[in-house]
Amino acid sequence: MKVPISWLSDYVDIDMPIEMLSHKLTMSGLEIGSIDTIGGDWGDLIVVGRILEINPHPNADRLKVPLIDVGQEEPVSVVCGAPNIRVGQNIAYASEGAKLTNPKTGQLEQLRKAEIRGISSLGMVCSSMELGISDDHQGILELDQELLPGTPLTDILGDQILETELTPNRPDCLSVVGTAYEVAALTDQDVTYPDTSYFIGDSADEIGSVMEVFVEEPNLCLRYTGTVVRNVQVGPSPSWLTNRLERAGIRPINNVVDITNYVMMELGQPLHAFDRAKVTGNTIYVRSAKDKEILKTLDGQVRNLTKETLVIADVSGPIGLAGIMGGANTEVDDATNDVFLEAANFSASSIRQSRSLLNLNTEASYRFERVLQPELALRALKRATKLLVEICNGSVTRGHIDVYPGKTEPQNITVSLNKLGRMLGAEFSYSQVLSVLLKLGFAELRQPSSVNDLIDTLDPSAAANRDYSLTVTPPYWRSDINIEEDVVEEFARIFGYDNLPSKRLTSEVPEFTPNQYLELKEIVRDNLVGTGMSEMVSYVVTSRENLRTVGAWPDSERAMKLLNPMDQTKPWLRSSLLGNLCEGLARNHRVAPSGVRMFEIGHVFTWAMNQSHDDLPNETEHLVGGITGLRSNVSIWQQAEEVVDFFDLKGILEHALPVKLNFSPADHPALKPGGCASISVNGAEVGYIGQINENVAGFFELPKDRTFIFEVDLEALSNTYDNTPKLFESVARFPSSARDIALLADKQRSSAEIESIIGAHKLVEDVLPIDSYIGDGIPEGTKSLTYRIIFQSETGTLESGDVDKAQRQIMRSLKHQLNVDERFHVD
Amino acid sequence: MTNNNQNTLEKLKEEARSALAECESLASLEEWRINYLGRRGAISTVMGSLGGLDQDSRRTLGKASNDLKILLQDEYDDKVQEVSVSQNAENQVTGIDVTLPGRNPPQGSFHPTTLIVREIAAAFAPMGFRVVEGPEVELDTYNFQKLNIPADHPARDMWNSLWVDYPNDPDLRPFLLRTHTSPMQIRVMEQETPPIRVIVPGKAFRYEATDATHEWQFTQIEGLAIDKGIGFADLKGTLDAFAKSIFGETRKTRFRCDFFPFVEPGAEMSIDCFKCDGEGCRVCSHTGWIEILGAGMVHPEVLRGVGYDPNIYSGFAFGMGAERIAMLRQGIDDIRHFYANDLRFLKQFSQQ
Ligand SMILES: [Zn+2]
Repeated sequence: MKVPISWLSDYVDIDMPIEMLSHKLTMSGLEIGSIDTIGGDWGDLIVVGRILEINPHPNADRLKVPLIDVGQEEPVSVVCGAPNIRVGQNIAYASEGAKLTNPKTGQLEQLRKAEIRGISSLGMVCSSMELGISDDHQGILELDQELLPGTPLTDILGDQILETELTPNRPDCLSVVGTAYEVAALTDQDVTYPDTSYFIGDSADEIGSVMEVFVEEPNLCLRYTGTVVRNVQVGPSPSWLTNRLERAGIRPINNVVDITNYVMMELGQPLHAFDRAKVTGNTIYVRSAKDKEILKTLDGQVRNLTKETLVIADVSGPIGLAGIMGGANTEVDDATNDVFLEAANFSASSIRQSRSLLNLNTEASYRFERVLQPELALRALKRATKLLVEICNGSVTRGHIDVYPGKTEPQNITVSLNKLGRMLGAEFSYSQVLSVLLKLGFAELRQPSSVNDLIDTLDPSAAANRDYSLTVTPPYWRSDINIEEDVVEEFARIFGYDNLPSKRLTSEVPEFTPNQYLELKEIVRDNLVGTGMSEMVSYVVTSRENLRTVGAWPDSERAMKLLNPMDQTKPWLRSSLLGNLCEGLARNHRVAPSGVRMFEIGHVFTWAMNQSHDDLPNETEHLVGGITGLRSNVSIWQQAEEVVDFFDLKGILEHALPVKLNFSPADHPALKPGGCASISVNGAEVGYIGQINENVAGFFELPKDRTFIFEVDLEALSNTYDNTPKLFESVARFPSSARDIALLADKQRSSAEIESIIGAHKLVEDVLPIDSYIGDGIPEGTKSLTYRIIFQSETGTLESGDVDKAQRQIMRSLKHQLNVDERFHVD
Repeated sequence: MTNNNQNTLEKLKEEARSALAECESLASLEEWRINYLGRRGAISTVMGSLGGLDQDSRRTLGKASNDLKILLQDEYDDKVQEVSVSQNAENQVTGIDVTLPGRNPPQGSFHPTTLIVREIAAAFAPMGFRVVEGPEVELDTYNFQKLNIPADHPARDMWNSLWVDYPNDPDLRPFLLRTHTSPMQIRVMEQETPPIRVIVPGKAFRYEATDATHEWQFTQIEGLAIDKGIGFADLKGTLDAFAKSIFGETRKTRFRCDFFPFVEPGAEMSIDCFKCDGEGCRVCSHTGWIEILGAGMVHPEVLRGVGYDPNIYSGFAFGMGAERIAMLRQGIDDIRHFYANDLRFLKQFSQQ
């Protein structure tokens, strides 16, 4: 909200520089976003001028050449095109060098002497917009008649405006008086509350005889106050009022409407004025709208209403949206004589629902949905009535309507000074706390204090240890003070958080339970980076095509979709990270085609079977990685460029995951048949690895012959991760001996099967595939595999005869079980 | 006889030394070693011939020839060293150009968010805070209601939400992408008993237009400490220690009143600008101070909601944006870099 200092000063003295005040307000919770200065650089360059005479411009019909008294000996003459210039008028005169806003660009520009169509112009007569006061550029700004020519304009119109940035708990600071209470507490001043008294003539009618109100929804309308003011003279507001409204960012309309807005800005209570003559009958109803009812609101929009919306109605139908906006059918205009003035309190959540259903945010709804206190309504009604009497010459009716179904007893809050001291880490006295609260508008309930005094007299020895308490009633304009802790905060923020003590945690340190999963995750991350992989993080949403392409579309029942996605083409929560990975690889492959290695760890989502509304859906963490291009991501001298293959990525994965992985040939919708493996741990499948197929390559624009990816369910895998300290195994005492054997096997035969048979022999310590060959020299449909076998005995050094014998046994098993032959002796 | 033998030893010594002096290669040195020090070399021959002498002469000559063997071995070792060095020097002329670049293995990199999360977790670890993680799709009850943010409350406007379409009942809207990591305060308190000290890093999501300082997806780091007797002074002290650990020992912290529905009193912590030391510059928007995190004492309603008695337990919570901290410290000008997955950005932050 915009709070002009000139207005604020009506209620509280400002006895410090605005910058300092602004800092204090910000630190205590009312953040000042900016301070706008009006007329800060006007100095003597912009002054009050009086139009002495107006001469025609010899060369232009629409321009005039007024002669202006600017308080100097000689009047000045300028060229002016404003339609509203008149002799005798007081205006704002800017002389050469003054800084004015250019209405076309909005920029500040320095005024220079000019010649306009042959006539030289020394200065300028200014509009509000040129002065930076408002957006009004219809004509020149007219000043009060009493002002003396030559008076610096800053003395009259100069001001500073605080732009406050409110947290949603402080609707009271959506008003100048609410802000004044903050200033008072911070600067040890008192607030002067606006006057709400007015004259009631002897002949005034009783309100009850002219108007009555029925509240049909007592839960939604907590209070409704109203009155009738007769014979108002509708017209423009006086300049002090329009100035204030404009500085607070409200456009003046006419004096009646301006007064309701003025009181809203002053006290924080929205009001509405109806043209009494346009209200049918003498009864106002506060009720829910009926289905299919419509209302044309003051902004000219026709609103289709539903029963969720609370309306103000007469016998003929709705005449206003309660707490949001009035209806055009009862709008106050120049012909209005009598007004019906409303100051009511509506349920915050109902207003919030209605305004979001109607998509209509107003100053009124903004305040109501932040919870206003019903106690405000009558005060605001009286204040507005007073202004209608004084400004519009209205005559009031006696009494006022006050339907108050939501009336509650004022809530008293008792604060233990011991608790306050414990919370804030320092001791504070009763009077120290009380004086802060009183400045904020709290009222003290004396009784507990006198009880304390009495107990102290009876038992002086216990006085030092007694928990004194303070009972207060929160200010009626504050809706955010409900519990003891709220009062503690009130004291703490005014006392200043920075003045409170600070210490390190001294309470017991919780028992440490290591989190095996997080430990595994960080090890995997470290290992992957160690192999040259770069970590990426992508958005959790994606398109259906993306998920379909990588074969991860979970089917429509299980896929999770956002109701309001940031990007309409990507409403789906990802059920796989593969698509994001491919996008990352592709993006970088385009700029650095030599070699890209990336991985991501992130959550994937699907609905559970029979998903209930109070259980979480399936959400687990996956790991994806991929490589594309060349083995080295920079070209290295004296080294042949080599394209990555399946085994590069498999090696990275085996290195990165600290568990034993098993790979077996498999099919995956994103991966090339025959170039794909499923990954399992302890017999449980945890993921896939392989070369992307043509479809994936085409969709993501990746090279299909040199892109390999994997995806692993990290949480499933972590169940097998064993971080218990490894036990010692004895080191072999006798030398081992190595043999290489070349085998001829069916092309479909997997190396893992052969290795497991070789490894089963009791003298085999290790078996390593060292070559694989398909082509000339071996029969069609077969492949040659060469293994290095390490023989080792725990009981003695193996002689060559022992190894020969073991090798023959292995070959027999291979032939028998897998039909694998020895191709030739390698050694 | 003895004298004669001693003369022979003396002669052998002279001869061996001059022969050693002439050796210029490792090959000739090896030849020399075999001739003089080898198993069938001159010294061994001499020592083998002592058998026929009397005991005194045998002892004297034995010792003398052993001394000679040690002396020649030392001189031989020195010479080998000398020749090796000179041979290396020769190699340098015709050998490798050591100034050519090394063949580095490919360089991997951590995401900058990972790095800052690890660093922040490490700053809190010595104070007894351990890391926990939680779900990114949350229930409205955990994201809002249990945090003292009822439905239709204007405080909800502080967190514009991305809602999940719940197909089983279109009238309900029970799920959303969590708008903050704060629901984990509730989950941790529900699952554990005080004392509690945890740090919760994780993704959070807001339905907000993106610009250089706002991303709809970002990383938040939540913190929570609950025990008997924890007060505002503990909050200030803990967060001050954290700020000094991340931004430097000399940093000053400042606390102002702020509002979050799940804390009371609520606060916001700023540090004095590390760029200009509080003088005012672009980094601190010319205020001298930089907002780092929101915090506060856990609201009694929140404690009651998880079954803790607010008259016994109290605590504080805080939350900060991980990317924001990384941006401030590392001068990153646009938060959107963090999710663009451009290696030219990603590779800048890991220490090589
Ligand atoms: Zn700075």
